[in-house]
Amino acid sequence: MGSLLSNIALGFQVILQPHVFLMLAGGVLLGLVVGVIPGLNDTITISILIPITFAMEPIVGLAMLVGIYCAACYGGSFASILVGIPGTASSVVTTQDGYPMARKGLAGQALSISTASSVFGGVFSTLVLMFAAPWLAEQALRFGPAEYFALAVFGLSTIAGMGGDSVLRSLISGVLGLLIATIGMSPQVGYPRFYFGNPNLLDGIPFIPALIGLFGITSVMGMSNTGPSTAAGTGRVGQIGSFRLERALIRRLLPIWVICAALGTFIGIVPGAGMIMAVYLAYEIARRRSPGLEFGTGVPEGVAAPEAANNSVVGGSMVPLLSLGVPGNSTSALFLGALMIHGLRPGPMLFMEQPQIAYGILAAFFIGNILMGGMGLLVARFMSGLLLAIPQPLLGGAVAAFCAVGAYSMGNNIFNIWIMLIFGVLGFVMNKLRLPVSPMILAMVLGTMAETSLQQALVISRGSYSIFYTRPIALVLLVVSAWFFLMPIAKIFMQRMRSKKLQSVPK
Amino acid sequence: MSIVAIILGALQFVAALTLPPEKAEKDQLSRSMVVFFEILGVIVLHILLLGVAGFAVANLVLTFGLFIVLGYRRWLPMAVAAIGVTVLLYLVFRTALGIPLPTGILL
Repeated sequence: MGSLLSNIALGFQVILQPHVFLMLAGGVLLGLVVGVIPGLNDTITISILIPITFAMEPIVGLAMLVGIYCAACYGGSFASILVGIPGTASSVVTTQDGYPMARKGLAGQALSISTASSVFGGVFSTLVLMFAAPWLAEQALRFGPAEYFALAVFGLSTIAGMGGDSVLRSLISGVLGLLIATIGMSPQVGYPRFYFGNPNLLDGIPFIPALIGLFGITSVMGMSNTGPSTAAGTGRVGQIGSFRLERALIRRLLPIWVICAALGTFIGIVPGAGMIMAVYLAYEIARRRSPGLEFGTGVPEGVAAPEAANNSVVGGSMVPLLSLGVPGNSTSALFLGALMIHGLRPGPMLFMEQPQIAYGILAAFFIGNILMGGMGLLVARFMSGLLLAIPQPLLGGAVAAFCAVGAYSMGNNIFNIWIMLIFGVLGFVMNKLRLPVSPMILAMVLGTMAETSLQQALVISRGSYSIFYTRPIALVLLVVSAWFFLMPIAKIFMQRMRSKKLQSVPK
Repeated sequence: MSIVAIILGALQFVAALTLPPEKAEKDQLSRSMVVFFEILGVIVLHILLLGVAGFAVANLVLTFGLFIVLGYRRWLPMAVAAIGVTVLLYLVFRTALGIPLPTGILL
C-alpha cells in the first residue's frame, strides 16, 4: 500500500509539471469543443491526434489524449441540454430530461447538474482505476460470450419500462430497433441480410449518422411545427436561469451519483459492453428508484444519472487496458496505439517498469476530470449566451449543416448523409405518433451484441443452451432481466385489476 | 440519371421558395406539412449537390435554403451566417482534422 501511494504521488508530480499540465488543459478544452459538435467525438479526434503525439514526450502526448477522452462525453451534454441534440453518443439520454429542463428556464441548473455529475463520475472511476484495477481486470476476464449475451438481454429488458406510461409503445419501438440491427452481414457466417443490393449496407446501418439524424435532423424538422411566422416563440430555450446548485439538491442527487458511477465503472470495465448501454441503464435505474417523479419532463435525476454514468465509463474502460493491455472500446484501443507508438506495452509490467507513465496517466485522469468541471462551466456559460442570441431559423440551418458534415465524416461517405436524412424523417414520424425513440436506439446497439454473443456462446457449448443457466453470472443477469422486463407489465396488470375493483365496489 | 435528379431537386427548391408564406395560409397543420416537405427537399438537394458541385456550394444552398424555409427574411444576417458556417465547417473538418470534404466541379 505504501509503495502504491508513493507511486500515485509520483504520478501527480509528473502531471503537475507546467508543460504537461498545459497540454492536459488543452486536451480538456479540445474535448469539450468536439463533444459539443454533433458528429465529432473523442474517437475521431484522438485518432487524428495520435500521429502528432509521436513527436512529443510520451507523457505530454498521453496527457493531452486523456484530457480529450475525459471532456468529450461531458461536453456532449451541453448540446443535449441547450438544443436537445446530443453532441456525442454518450449524451443521448441526457436530452430526455436536460432539454425539458432548459425549456422550463432551468438550463443553468441542468448544466451545473451535468457538470457536478460528470466530475463525480469521472473522479469516482479514476479512484477505482487507481486502487482496484488489477483485481477488477481479472474479474472482467470471466465474461465470456454467454455472459455478454445475458448482459445484452439485461439491457434489452429495460426497454419495457422505458416509455413511461405505455409499455406497448416502448416495445414497438424496441422491436423496430432489433429489426434495424439485422441489416447487414450476419455475425459468424457473414450472410448478407436486407442490404437491398447496396454494398454500403453490408456493415449494417452506420450508427452515428443514424443517431445524428434521429436527434439533429428530427429537431430541425420539428421546427416546421411552429410555422415560420411564429418562429420566435414556442419550443425553444427562453432563458438560462441560475447556475447555482442548492445543497438540498446535491444531497438528493448524491445516491444517484454513487449508484450510477458504480454502474458506469462496471460497464466500462467489461470490454465491449459500451457507453450507450451504461447511460440507458443508469437512467432506468434512477427512474425506478424514484417512482414519484415524472421522468422525461425535466427532472434533475434524469440529467444526473446518465452524466455520472458516462464519465465513469471512461475511467472504467481504462481498467482492462492499463492492467491487461486489452482495450475495452474503440477509444481505449486508440490509447493502446498511442502507448505502443512510444514503445510502451500496457499491462502489469508497465506499472513496474515505467511507473511515471502508468501512474502519470492515472493522475492525468484525476486532474483532467477536475479541470473539466471548471473549464466546462465557463464554456457552458459562453455557449448558452451565444445560443440565446441566435434566431431559431438561423440555428436550424446551422445545426443541419453541422449534422450533415458530421454524418459525412464518419467514413467520408455521402451515403451516410442519406442515412441521416432517413432517420431524421423516421424520428419526426415517431414523434408525431408519440413513439419513444430511445428503445429503438438501445435495441439497435444491443441487437447486434446479443446476436453475436448468442452465436459465439452456442459454438462454445456445441449448440447446447445449458451454457446460459449453468454459468452463474449469466444466470443471475438473465433472472434480473426477467424481473426488469416483467415488472412494468405486472404493474399495469395490477393497476387494471385494482381499477376494476374500484369500479365495481361503489355500485 | 443524376442530372435528372438535380433538376428535380432544383425544381423542389424553387417550389420551396415560391410556394410558402403568401399562399398557404389555410390552416396550421397543412402549413407545417408544407414546411416539413420543404426542409426535406432542401436536404435532398444538398446531398445531390454535394457529389456534383462540392462542399462549399452544397453547404451554402443547405444553410440558405433552411434559413428561408424556416421563415427568416433578413438578408445580411443570413448571408453572414451561411458563409460563416461554411467557412467554419471547412476550417474545422478540412483544415484542422484533414477530412477530405467532397469537391465537385467548383470548390
